[in-house]
Amino acid sequence: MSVRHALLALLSEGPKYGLQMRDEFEQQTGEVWPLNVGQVYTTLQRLERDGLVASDGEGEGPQKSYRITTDGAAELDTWLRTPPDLSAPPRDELVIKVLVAIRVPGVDVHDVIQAHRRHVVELMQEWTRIKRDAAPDDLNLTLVVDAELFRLDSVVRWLDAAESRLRRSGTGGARRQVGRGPAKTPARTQQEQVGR
Amino acid sequence: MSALQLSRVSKVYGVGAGEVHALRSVDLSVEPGELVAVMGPSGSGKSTLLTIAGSLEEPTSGEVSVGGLPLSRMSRNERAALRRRAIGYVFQDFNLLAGLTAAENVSLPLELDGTSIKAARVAAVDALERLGLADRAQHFPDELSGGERQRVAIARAVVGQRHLLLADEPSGALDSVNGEAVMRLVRATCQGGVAGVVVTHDAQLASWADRVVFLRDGRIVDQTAEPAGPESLLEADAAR
Amino acid sequence: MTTTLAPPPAAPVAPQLPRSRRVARRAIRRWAWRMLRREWRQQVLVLSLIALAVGATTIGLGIVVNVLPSDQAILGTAQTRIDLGNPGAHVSADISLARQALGTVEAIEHQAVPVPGSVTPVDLRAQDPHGTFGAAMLRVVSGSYPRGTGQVAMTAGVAATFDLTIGDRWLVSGRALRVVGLVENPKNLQDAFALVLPGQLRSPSSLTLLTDASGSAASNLHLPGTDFRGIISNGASKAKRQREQAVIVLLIATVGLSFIGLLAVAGFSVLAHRRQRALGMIGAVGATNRQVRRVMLANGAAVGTVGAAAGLVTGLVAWFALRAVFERLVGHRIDATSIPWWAVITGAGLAILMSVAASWWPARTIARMPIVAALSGRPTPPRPAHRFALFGIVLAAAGFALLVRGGQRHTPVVIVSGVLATTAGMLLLAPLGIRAVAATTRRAPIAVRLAMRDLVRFQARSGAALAAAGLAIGIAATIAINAAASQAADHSLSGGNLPTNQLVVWLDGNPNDQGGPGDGAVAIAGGSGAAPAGPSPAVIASGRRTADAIAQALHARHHIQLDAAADLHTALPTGAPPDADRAILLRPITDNGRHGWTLVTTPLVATPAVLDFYGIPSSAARSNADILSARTDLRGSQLGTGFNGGSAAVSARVLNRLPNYTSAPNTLITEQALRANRFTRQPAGWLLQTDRALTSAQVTEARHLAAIGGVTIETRTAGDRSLQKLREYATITGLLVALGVLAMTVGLIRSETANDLRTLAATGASSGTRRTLTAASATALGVLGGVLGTAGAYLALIAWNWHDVGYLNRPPYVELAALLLGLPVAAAVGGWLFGRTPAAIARRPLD
Repeated sequence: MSVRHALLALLSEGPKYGLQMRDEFEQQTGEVWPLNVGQVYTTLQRLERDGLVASDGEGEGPQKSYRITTDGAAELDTWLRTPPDLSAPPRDELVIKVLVAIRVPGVDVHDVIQAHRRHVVELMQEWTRIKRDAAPDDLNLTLVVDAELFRLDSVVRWLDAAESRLRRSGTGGARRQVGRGPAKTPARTQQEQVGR
Repeated sequence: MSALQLSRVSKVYGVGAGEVHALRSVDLSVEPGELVAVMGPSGSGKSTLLTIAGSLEEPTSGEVSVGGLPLSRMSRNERAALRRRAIGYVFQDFNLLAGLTAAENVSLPLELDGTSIKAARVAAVDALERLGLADRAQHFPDELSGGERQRVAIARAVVGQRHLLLADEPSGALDSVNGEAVMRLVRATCQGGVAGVVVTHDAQLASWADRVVFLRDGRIVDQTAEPAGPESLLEADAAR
Repeated sequence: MTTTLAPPPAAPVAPQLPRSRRVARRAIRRWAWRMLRREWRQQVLVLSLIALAVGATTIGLGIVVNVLPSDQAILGTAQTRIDLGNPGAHVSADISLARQALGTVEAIEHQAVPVPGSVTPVDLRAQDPHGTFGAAMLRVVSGSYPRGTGQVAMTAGVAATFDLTIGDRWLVSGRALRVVGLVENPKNLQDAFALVLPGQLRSPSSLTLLTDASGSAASNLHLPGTDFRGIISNGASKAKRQREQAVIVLLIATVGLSFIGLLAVAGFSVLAHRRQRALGMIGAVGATNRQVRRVMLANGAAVGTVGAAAGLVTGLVAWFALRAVFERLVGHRIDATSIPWWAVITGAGLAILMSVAASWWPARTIARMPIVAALSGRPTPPRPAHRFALFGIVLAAAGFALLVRGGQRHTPVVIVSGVLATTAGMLLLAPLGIRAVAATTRRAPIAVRLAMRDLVRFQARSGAALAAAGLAIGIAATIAINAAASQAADHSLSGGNLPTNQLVVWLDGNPNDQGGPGDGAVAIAGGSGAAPAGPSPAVIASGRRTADAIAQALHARHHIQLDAAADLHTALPTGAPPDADRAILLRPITDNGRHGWTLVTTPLVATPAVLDFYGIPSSAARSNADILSARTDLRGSQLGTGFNGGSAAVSARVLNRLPNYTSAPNTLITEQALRANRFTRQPAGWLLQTDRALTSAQVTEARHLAAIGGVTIETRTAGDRSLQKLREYATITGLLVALGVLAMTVGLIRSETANDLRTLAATGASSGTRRTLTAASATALGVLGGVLGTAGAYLALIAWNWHDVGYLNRPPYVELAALLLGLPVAAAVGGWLFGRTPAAIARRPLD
């Protein structure tokens, strides 16, 4: 994640103070990604060192205002057009957990998958709630939340696909027998229902 | 009193070797104002659950109550009346009657119920207006886009004084933004006090629900926990 | 977006707004009407099927009621007709006597005017054109009735015979009569006569009295000095005929209505299937079963009403338009209003009811179907075909038994149940047939297999369509088989005088012509006197030349001489007719203590030429029999001559190969009998046969040649040639109706395969494959319909003619082949031609 380029983008609109930039950043990303002031100043210092921004005004702190240099504008433009690195090998924790669950005796991989699925869906519910409560014209927030939702959705889909593949191949360790009493989860469901 | 209550509902299709258990002892209750999503892969029995809940099919065993009234004790006609007055249905694709305009489609349940044509028409136009379709009221279904058709279908499902909205993959063939619009409408309807059940395999759609129920092989295997506030998510995310 | 929905009510069924059933009904009606508009093509097909059936039934009923000649042809409006021969000079005395005894009496005098060259004389009638009873037997075609002395009106046929037109002078028995008009007997267009005013005939040969008195009163009438000929009374025969007619009307109406019913069932099953999803939808929205059913019933009622009205109007218009054709065919004028209105209107009314009933069944099926199944568009799982088939066989058997009984007793209820049971049986057997055909196509190309599988899958509608096509074909087959059988029966029993393609040149008149075909005439009792005479060699030579000339003119293919036998050894009594020496078959009779003879027939000689012509081996002629005959009623008759009566009992042998026409050589005397009775062969005439039926122009030409040559000719009397035409028309019409029904049902089913066609096109099937699909369903329905229909027709006819099944032993091979082969071929070609892909493949219509 590039705070660098986000700050460059903010400065491309005109000279700004550091504190002002933090507020604008949070506002634009729908307050999804909180940013502390220190992080802003450290990044600005690095940008200045690389000659991508220039500062005017004296000393450190809130009084100092920054503006983008020609190099900085060029860097921002290049960055916007450079595709993000999508070819990284999957070292996803979730993937590793499922792979391990298949091998560990006495563990029902389907239960593991369902536990993760439930968790991810709960996360998605929360994101959706944010989207639901957002002002209808808050495009930035919507886009950011959508990105999260699509990412999480892909996780759910992978879990679905994994489960489907496991079923088809017949693996899954202590696979639940259809028709027998289920483990803990359905019981919990019923309890909750009674509670309602 | 639950708006919808399924108790140990089972459904078996076919007999003998061809026997298929679509639902196995399903318990589910939906409160007024609550939106529940039923998630499961194809063939998990989620559509059957919806048709049984909507009195379109009868369970092999178990009991279904709508608004506290058990369906098994109703005659066919009483169940039809229930569908006219209390239950709204939204299907995936085949939703509207081709021979009727959008407004007529929406007012159909009211008119079938004997509401005066004028009152029914007012209610229909009102429902369409709320769904942003006021200018489409006199169009026939084949003159509408897919998203518009689905919105008309929702209007029909909520027109009058419904308290149970059942939707089967309501965003079926729609793109994600149109699908979201549909879910927003369903959500908004539920906030008005209607109990909603949405059946889907799409996690993004399901995440609009207050509660997501996971269905596998005709059995409810899990459901999401009580919702946490949005702040918690932000905090959790920030903490990560 | 926010909603402002109110919180839900406490109880779901609590009324919120004032409700009325009327509104619900209106909503349903509106939707039904819109559906009707959207599906107008299918609806129009069903509607045309119903209209076709109603129209055909209307015309059929009209023809049936009018096909039989009316009693009025000979009775006018009188109750009783008395025919008296030889009235002589005391005509007026006889008439006044009759008036005293019977009240109002109208007299018609007859005089036979010989026609040169023809055996049939023309009837010159003296009759009051405006007579109390006889006016109904007369109609002016052009000109006027005779108004005074010396004026004559005549039928067109007579005018043509004598080559006369209005204004010409006609020389008859020494008088010149001026032709003032052309007339006809509207009740019998074959009636050939000339008309003068009463009292214009000097020597009438017979007298007809028309009266309103009863037949028994008439038979008590005694007029001295007149030969008693006969009494025809408008009594029992009329009642009996009306009953027969009513039975036929009932039969036609029943068959027509079953037909309408089947077509409606077929049509509405298809429509119901088409609407299955929409009806499921409306059920999901909360329509009750009753409302769903009502949609279909309203549809049925609407289509039925329009169809029945259209059919009725079309039928009536066609009836009025084609009246002239029908009049020519049935041989009498038809009163345009003489339609069995009660039957026609009831039929149309019942057609509406049947449409409603036919839409009721699929409506019920759909309303009862689980909504989920209806929504998914799945067909209801077909019920096991064998159960239906068993029931179908039982019904067909019951129908057969009922028809056997109905054919003997003519009990209306039995007939109607018989027809209905047979039809229902066919309907139930149809699915089995479809399965059987489908089973044979397991290894057929994919398109054929798909077509067959759909027919099986959608058994309800394909079965009804098949039954409808089957019934249409059955009707056509029944007409064809019956026409062939009755034609054969005509030939064998009352086949008339000659077949249409034969002509006999008689040297000296038809020897059997004295008393009509084969019976009745009392032989002349003999005295003694003049020398035996036969035709002179010069007359024979001249006759032969004339016959040759006629044969040449007609391009006759066969030309054989007919010889009579004569006793030239005994002298003829004085005053005896010149042919009194002819060998004849007689039978002794006793009448009021007087012994006499009645003429049976005049045999011709079994010459090798005659035997050869009829394909009889000469060994048959050498057998011990005296007489070879097609007749079976010769037992007890004796061989003799006109002047000395019978002398020897004869041994007769029945030969079926001999013709059964009264004027054809149907009875032959063998050479052995000739020798034994010392009879001599004498040329009597020549039999000519052409390839085709003789036209009236040919007959006129032949008659002219005959008149010049001093001989007479005899051809088939016109009477039932037109009935035969009627049968031909009926057969062709039946075929066309069957084809039309088949085409429409295939069209109806094809509109259902539109989705399949779309998918097939999408998967890259060539248009040939798609056409094959349609053609295959059409062919299957055609073949099955043909088999079922023909089988059903034979079943019904065998049952109806149970007492005389041999009646059906001459199947109309050409027509049956047309039905069994032609129809499937036509259906296949039609299916192929019209089995195109629907225009919009991409867009799947909302249904």
